Amino acid sequence: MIPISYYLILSTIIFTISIAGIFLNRKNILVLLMSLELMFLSVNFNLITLGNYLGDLTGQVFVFFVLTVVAAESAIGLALLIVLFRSKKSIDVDDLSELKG
Amino acid sequence: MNIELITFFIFSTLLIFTCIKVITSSNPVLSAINLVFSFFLSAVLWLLLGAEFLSIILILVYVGAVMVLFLFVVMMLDINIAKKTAAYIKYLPLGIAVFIAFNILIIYFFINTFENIDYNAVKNIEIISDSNTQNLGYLLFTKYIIEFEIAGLILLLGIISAIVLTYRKNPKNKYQNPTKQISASKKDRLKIITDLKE
Amino acid sequence: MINIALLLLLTPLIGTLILLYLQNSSKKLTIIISNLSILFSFLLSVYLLILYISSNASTLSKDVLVFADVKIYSLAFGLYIDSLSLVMCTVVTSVSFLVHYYSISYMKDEKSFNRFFIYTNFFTFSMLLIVLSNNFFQLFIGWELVGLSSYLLIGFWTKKNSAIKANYKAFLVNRVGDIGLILGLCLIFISYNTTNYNEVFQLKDTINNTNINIFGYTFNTLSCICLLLFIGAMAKSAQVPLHFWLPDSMEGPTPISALIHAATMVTAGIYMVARLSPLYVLAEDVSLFILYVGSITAFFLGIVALVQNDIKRIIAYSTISQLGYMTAALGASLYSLAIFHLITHAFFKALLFLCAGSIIIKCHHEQDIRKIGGLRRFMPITYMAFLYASLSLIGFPLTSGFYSKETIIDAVGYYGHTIPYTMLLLSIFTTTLYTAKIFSKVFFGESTLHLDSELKNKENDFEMLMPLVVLTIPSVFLGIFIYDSLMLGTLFGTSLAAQELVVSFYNDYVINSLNFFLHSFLTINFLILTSAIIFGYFYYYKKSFVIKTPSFIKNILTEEYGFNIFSSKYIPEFQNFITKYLWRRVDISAIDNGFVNNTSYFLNKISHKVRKVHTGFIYHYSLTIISALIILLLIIGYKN
Repeated sequence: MIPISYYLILSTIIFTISIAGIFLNRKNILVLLMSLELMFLSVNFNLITLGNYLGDLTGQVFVFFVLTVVAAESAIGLALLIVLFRSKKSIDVDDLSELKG
Repeated sequence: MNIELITFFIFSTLLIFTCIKVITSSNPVLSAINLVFSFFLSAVLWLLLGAEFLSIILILVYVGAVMVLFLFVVMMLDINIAKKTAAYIKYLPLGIAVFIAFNILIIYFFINTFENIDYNAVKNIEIISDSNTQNLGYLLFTKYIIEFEIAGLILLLGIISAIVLTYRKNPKNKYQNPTKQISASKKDRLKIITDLKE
Repeated sequence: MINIALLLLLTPLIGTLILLYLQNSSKKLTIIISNLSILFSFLLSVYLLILYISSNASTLSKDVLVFADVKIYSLAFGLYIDSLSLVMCTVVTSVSFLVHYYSISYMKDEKSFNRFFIYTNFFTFSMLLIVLSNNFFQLFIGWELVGLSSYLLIGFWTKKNSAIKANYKAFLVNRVGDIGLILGLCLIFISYNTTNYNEVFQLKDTINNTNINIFGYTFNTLSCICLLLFIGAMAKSAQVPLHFWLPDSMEGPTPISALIHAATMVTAGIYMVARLSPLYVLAEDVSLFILYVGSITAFFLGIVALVQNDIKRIIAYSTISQLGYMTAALGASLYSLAIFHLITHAFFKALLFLCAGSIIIKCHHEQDIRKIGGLRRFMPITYMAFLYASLSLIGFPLTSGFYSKETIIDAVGYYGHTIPYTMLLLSIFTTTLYTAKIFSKVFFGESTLHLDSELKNKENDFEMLMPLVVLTIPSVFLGIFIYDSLMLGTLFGTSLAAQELVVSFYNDYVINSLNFFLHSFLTINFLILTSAIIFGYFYYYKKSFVIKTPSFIKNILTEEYGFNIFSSKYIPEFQNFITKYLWRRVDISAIDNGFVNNTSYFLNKISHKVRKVHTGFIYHYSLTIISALIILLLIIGYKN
């Protein structure tokens, strides 16, 4: 039996990698979306792990829903990306500073 | 050191490595490929946790659909891969610092919280068979049926919004406007001309 | 009994309210409602007084309506019924009724006839509220309402510039006194934790032994309370140095002068001190102060009346002087004598004012006594009424004024207050002299006015003459009627403190009213009185000699000791200086520039700095979020 903390530590590491990816990434939004996918993955990891160790299937049901939502999210995100590319001819993160105060 | 633990270590190391590759590689295609790898690896780890159905779903839906979508977008967008490594290196120490700090904190938490956890806290789940898929399906279609339906609606919403966002009208196309057709009245069409001779 | 008293109090208010809704109705309806409400009130108070005295009932204090009941304190509307309040009620309502009746004729040509009666009814109600209140809070409300209605009535002729100034002045001077009253009330509330009269009276001894610390100096709490309340009374009852609003308030209609200066407003201060006599008896130093204030007022402001030429102003100064007598009596702890003089003064001064009003109407609103003359021939009833009132005012033996005033003077002398006694004695002379002045100039001599010949031989209307005749009776006979019972304390026995002073004076000096009358011919008072009458006869009537008064004394007197110029020139200038300073320094530089403008300026600066945080880059935002998360985790980790 693998200790529960191994899985949790693993998911934490994935989560922090994806966070680092968000703010280290200056190239394009696509990688940013991929980082988000990774983040969801780590969350799913947590849910499955805890569900398994507590003997509860609800965690897996939850992961099921998370997968659904993530699929929809990535579809919309990519659609937005395309719209953005059409208007700005670039998906560079550095070019997206309309919110600048 | 049993086989389970060895598997876990191998696959988790690979997983971390591919994750790092996802965020560091300058080519988005490479990133996407690495993401696919990381999904595969985590699917294996999920199998270890006994979530067979979900690991299969992860591969089928994610790798098969979502990641392909990503790749499609990468190809569609014609992105020039300019290398801005200078800025990357400049911010890397900060990234590593945040990474370490956050990791230490969360791991500290998890160890503190889950070290002495009572694994038998929740055991009153209805298990109808040994198969994970059957159990999950049973739970989804009985207890969580409403949530399941809502999930379907969310997917539909995703489809519609993606289409609405990206759909472009081609000005060359000729098409009918049913609303205008219905709302047309007699006055717009008919013109009564009285006797011209007068 | 409480219910009747409540009805007595509320009738004028109901009258006011009805009149308020009938502002555009006919004069006849207004007259009926206003007069009936006061008459009803008067009859009720007479009935209550008779009932109270005949049944030997004890003091009754009852809360009728509780506004707010907090644990430590309850705010209530209550009535206090004893012989003092009932006698006051009777005096107030009777004079008020006669003034109302008189006003029917006096105000008949007035455009805002209805407004006048609304005000007067409300005035009567406010005064009754003071008289019947059983707690300080209600007293204060009544006090302010009296101030308000006097303000409205003095400035009744809203288009007359001097009237507006006068009512403003009256209001402001009363406000100065009100500060004292409010502070006194606060002090009472702090030290007694209640505002009910009876509860305060019960606690008076314990409070007398406590001290209060003001700016590092220690004072006796009770003395402090008494002094502060007396400041309020000084303004209301026109004592030096807060008296100067009263002569100016003559700008109002004459019936109002009668109402304000005879029965209602000015007596409120005297009544309050008498009502609180259990407290004032204990504060001996304050009593001494009151005695000196009263006698100074009586003497010095009586002299001012000598140089005045406006008939109403003379009577106003005489009112101040007479109020000085009452205050002196209060200061000498002879409370029942003060109330006695208050009652008799209410009647004869109301009579004097109404006579003056009658004369003024006759002479087409001419008030300068140098121009009026020879009215004796064609105003015989007014002449007689004025004669009786004047006799009462100067204290001619057997009249009401004689009993009340001479008793005060003699009692002050009897208890060894030499300086006040001298001043009070000397002011008999001045009182007689200015009365002689009015009398000889108005009713004798020649008129410089050209009155219509058909008007010349006619007295005024019945409405104006009836009150004169009715008021003559108490002016002359009331004194001898109630003298003995009042002096022996049977009338005010329980409601006033220190009655034993009066009783011992009565037993030692007066013995009985007849004896007092006979004895008075042998006293120095009578000598002064007769000499003044003789002097006045020769100086004003025969004009057999002329006295050259030194011009600087005359100047001081015509300037009214500088109070007028002080109040209308120096105080406004000082005020102007301060307000300008405040306006420039505080308002403009501190508030406008300092707070308002600087706030926006700094906000602008800060936001200019802060907006740079908003880079617009996603990775900056995410870094911020992560840092916040780390800090949050640190906090939680630290707590665990």
